[in-house]
Amino acid sequence: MKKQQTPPAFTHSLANLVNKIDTTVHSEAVGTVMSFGDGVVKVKGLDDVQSGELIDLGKEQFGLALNLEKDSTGIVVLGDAGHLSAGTTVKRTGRILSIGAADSILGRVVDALGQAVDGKEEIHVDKYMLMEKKAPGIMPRKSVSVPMQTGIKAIDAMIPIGRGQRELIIGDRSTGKTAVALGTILNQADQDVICVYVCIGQKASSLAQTIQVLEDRGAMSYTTIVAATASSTAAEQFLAPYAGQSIAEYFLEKGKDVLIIFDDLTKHAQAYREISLLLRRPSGREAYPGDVFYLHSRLLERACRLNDENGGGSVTALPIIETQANDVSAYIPTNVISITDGQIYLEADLFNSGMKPAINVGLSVSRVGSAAQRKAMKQVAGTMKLDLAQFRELQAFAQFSSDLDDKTKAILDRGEHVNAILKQGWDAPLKMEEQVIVIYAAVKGYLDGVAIENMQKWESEYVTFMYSSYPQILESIAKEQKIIESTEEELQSAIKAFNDTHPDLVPVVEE
Amino acid sequence: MKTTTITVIATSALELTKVQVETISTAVKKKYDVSSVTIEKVVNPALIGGIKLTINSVEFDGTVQGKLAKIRSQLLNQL
Repeated sequence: MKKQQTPPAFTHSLANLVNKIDTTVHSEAVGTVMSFGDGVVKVKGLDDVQSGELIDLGKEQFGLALNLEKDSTGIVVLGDAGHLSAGTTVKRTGRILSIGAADSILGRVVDALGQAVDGKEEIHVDKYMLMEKKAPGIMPRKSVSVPMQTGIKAIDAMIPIGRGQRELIIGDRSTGKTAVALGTILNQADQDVICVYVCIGQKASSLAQTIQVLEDRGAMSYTTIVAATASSTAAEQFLAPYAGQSIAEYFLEKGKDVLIIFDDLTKHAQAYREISLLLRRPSGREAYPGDVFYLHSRLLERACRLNDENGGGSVTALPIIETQANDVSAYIPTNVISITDGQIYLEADLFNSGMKPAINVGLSVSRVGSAAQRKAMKQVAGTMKLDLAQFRELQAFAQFSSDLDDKTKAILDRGEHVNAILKQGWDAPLKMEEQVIVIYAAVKGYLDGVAIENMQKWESEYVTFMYSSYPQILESIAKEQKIIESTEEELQSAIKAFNDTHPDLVPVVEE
Repeated sequence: MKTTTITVIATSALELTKVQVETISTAVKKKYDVSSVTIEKVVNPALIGGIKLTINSVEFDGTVQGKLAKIRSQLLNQL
């Protein structure tokens, strides 16, 4: 009777599902909880457990085995394990921590375990990627040869980053570190680069804002966000960068270029310190455990550029470090500085004096990126570095004496203009060719007559003018990747033409 | 055969009969190659039915509760 009442298709599919279920009894390795507190579980038993193995704590909660001792195992809880008490049994799963990745993960916000946290549909996993994986060795690698355009003039011109490089962004709180990273994500819109933004210990409100910005600007279509906010457990914050890196590697395996941002590794180190202290591991300098260097080096070593036999993809890492009172010689900053291939140094003083992005060009370096810099950019940036260096040298002197010879005055004036042209809104990235024509005008002295406060206006009107009247110059630079002679002549006359028609911005010099 | 003892914690929903204890004891003796088996009986009605053996830190869960949990997790996986 009842069978007739329910639709046969439903009973059929239900029967199919139930038939597939395997309920045979297997031996399972179990352990008994001895103590549980502060997110750390001590377990007796659990024979043959592996380090880094997932432990089933029951009620759909999992833990991570981190400390293996003679007769107990230290497990950190991922998520909430309020149901645990002394005597509860926990089980081995035999699974080493991994994260499910798929192409559809782009545009999504996931937590450190790969679960969607943006309230949209479930992500259908295509492949499980190991979170802890050995970095590619020497043979599959290739040196950096393609630039990672950040769209920020100061960086692309003087601290160029190549795809596959690790460039640290370091600075005090609120100096625009995240802004530099987000600006870079926005600039990847037409560059065929996939972005992964890993948020570690940030305020949920700032993360929500970041997601909003990326969504409004259409950048979420090629971006995945791994979120471990300040309210996540220390274990989740500790795992988030590895999770993000695994997602990046999923795309790397497909030969894609990936940009990954770790925002920020200071909080990551602090989360790891918390776990280590609770696990009673011996502590060292600043109470960090002994392997805190390895914690970051094994993560950042996974950034790479692979050769063509291995797919030719790349992972560019932009870790962020927050310093206290400009102290770059603290433990974690020095560690990460030595691991990365250069750093972008942001300063609060510059930021407060209105220099945005607040990049200290003198202290920032890129150790490998110049190999990937485009010829056109090299042509204009060489003079710029010199101009700025001379400017900085003389700037100190200029404050003492008011009488300066004409040559010094000219250098100071040029330096000030070049400095001013580097100012840029973080959400207004410029294409390579746009940067080249702007910097060209500044270093060749076409801007010396422009008042400093009008520089931004000059720049935006100039770029619009070039697109409408001389698009062939921009096309030529974009195509040739350098300024060829004929283009240079054309560019010079174009700048002159623009300056002559804008007397409000460029006052006519009276002879 | 080694002259060793092994302790088995047998948890069931209902009190085990003598025959059942004997069967478990023989099976464990055979599997673990030991001469004597001590069985600690625990009764837990929450298991609904079946029996769960815990030997050192290895567990064999043949209870109805365990089977239901397996069905649940596998069904969720298939969805």
